[in-house]
Amino acid sequence: MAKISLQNIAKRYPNQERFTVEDFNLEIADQEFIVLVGPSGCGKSTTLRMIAGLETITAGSFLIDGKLMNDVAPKDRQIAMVFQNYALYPHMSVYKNLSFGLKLRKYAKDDIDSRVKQAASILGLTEYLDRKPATLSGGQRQRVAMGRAIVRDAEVFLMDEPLSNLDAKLRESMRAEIAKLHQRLKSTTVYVTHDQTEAMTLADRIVIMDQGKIQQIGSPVDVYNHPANVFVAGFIGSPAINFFDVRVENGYLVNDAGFKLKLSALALSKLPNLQPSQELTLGIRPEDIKVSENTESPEAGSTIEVEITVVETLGANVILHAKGGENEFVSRLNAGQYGRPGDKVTLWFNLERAHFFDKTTQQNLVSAKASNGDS
Amino acid sequence: MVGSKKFNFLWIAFFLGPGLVGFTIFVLIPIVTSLYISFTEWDLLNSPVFIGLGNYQTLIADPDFWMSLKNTVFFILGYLPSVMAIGLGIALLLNSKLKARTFFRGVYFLPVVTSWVAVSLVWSWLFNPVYGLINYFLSLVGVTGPNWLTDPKTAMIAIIITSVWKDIGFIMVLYLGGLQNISPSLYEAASIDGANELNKFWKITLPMLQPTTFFVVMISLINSFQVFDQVNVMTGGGPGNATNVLVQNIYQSAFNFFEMGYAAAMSWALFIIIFSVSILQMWGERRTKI
Repeated sequence: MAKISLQNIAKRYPNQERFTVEDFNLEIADQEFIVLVGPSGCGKSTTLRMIAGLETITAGSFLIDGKLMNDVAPKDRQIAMVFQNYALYPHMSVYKNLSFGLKLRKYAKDDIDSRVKQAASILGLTEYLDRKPATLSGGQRQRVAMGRAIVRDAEVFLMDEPLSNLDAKLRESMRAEIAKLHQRLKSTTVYVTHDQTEAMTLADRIVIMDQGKIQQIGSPVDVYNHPANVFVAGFIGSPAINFFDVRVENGYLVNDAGFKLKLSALALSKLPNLQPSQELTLGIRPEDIKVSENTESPEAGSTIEVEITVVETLGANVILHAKGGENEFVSRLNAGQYGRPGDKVTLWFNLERAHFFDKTTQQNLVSAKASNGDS
Repeated sequence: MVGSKKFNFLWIAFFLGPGLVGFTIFVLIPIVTSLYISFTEWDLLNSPVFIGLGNYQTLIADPDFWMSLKNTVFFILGYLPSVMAIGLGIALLLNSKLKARTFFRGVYFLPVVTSWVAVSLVWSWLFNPVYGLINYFLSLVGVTGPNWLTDPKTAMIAIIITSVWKDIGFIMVLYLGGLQNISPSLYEAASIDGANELNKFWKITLPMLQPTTFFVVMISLINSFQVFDQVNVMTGGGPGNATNVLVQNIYQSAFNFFEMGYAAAMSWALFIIIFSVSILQMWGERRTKI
């Protein structure tokens, strides 16, 4: 069983001024499923490859079960890895792909055979054991890559965007299989993705990265409900959160583009240090903006008149894009008729679920503790 | 359109014409003619006399033909494994993160683009037992070098060394291409699977290079059956018949002894040998594939 500890990990490539990963601190509990998520180039894959031993660690300490692993060769780290392009050995059959690592580690022949066959049956690959990777479908190749990781009973599973080469439907079903597999094997897992849905659905804890730095660590619900900063709020959530640059004036949030909402007493109480005419970035998720006909007697000052620009019907939901003054709004509504592009509607804002960020530091003005009440 | 077919034909003829004319004059007619000549006795001065399979009967009973074939095979057995091993070795070196590797790639390729005659002359001098650099270097370590090109025991070895040196660059370029087609993630997966560098070479690199190796063997085999330039310049087939390879034998029969018919028959025998070996190799390659 494996606990992983990353302490002040940094990575800088030779001839590069900028750190690719900087000041990375993370304690991963045994059996935990950690997802590193962020836009491309944020350093998430580099971090994973440092854990795997495929990249050297420039500074900091990396420990597995308290043992320093910085300079230990990949093969001696008790890890297994699933690569984005699967990295299956094209000249070997599925059986040989699965058994290659066991053979190199000098497992007994019967042991290899039973492990390979068990892994194949878990992953539904039994009938493909004699095939070469080139003759398999994308999903099957993905399973072989997973199989190669699970035959060894490695303590730590590393997955580098394992689903990104699959089509949308297959991705969804493999996502569920990975979740099941983790429940069954309970190996400590570090999973890299740029897909927030994968992050939200698979993770015990999500690590959101940007420009080589951790932006927030937390459970999927935590990072959704209490984003630490503007970046996290904007990265997690689909459709993306609405941002408005506003300032506080006489108990109202206003901007010059025609935005004006009254700060409710509850919202105000969460912002004890608010200065008069302070500049804020207001973040409000699409589901917290409703068309006001559907809410009962909205409080005065909690609505804005807008014109519908686009209506996206998704079956269970309707995504409404609208414009009011120079401000653009995206609202997620239950299925129904709300009007057509060009129609005027009144939007109601649930400011109690809104997020307030300092405009210069971009940090959330409400600490996670203080806002616990509204989750 | 009514005339379009004819119109198209004219255009096709226009574009294919120059190539076809060249092919016909310089390839097709000589091939067919040589086949005819191989059934005749012809000394270039008098008209060819048709003698049927006579030349081929002579050939089968001719110890000189078998001797030159044996010499050719000896050359191939020495040349092919060496040039492939060294070519692959240098490709592996130049595929790593070596400093100035582009420079070295160019250096190793230089002999490939150099004329065979020039190379042969330079190596003849290098192999000179009295003035040559090779025996000079050997003498530095206390070894008395052989009379390379004039000793029947060493002449073919000298030819092999020269040929390997000249062709390494070509083999290296082919293998470099093959190596760069191997995804680095395979090596990463292998190192996580527990492979050391030797495992990676035997289990990943070599099998992944199989298509390249096939191509290299095919091309080199065909070329080395036709080894001639270096032999003709460096030894002229001697000393004695020590380096008398097939094409040298053909050349001598045709242009020293003016037995054009017999030379043509030997050329066709060489063609059949190369053709059979290639077919055999392709068949073997197909059997080992997926």
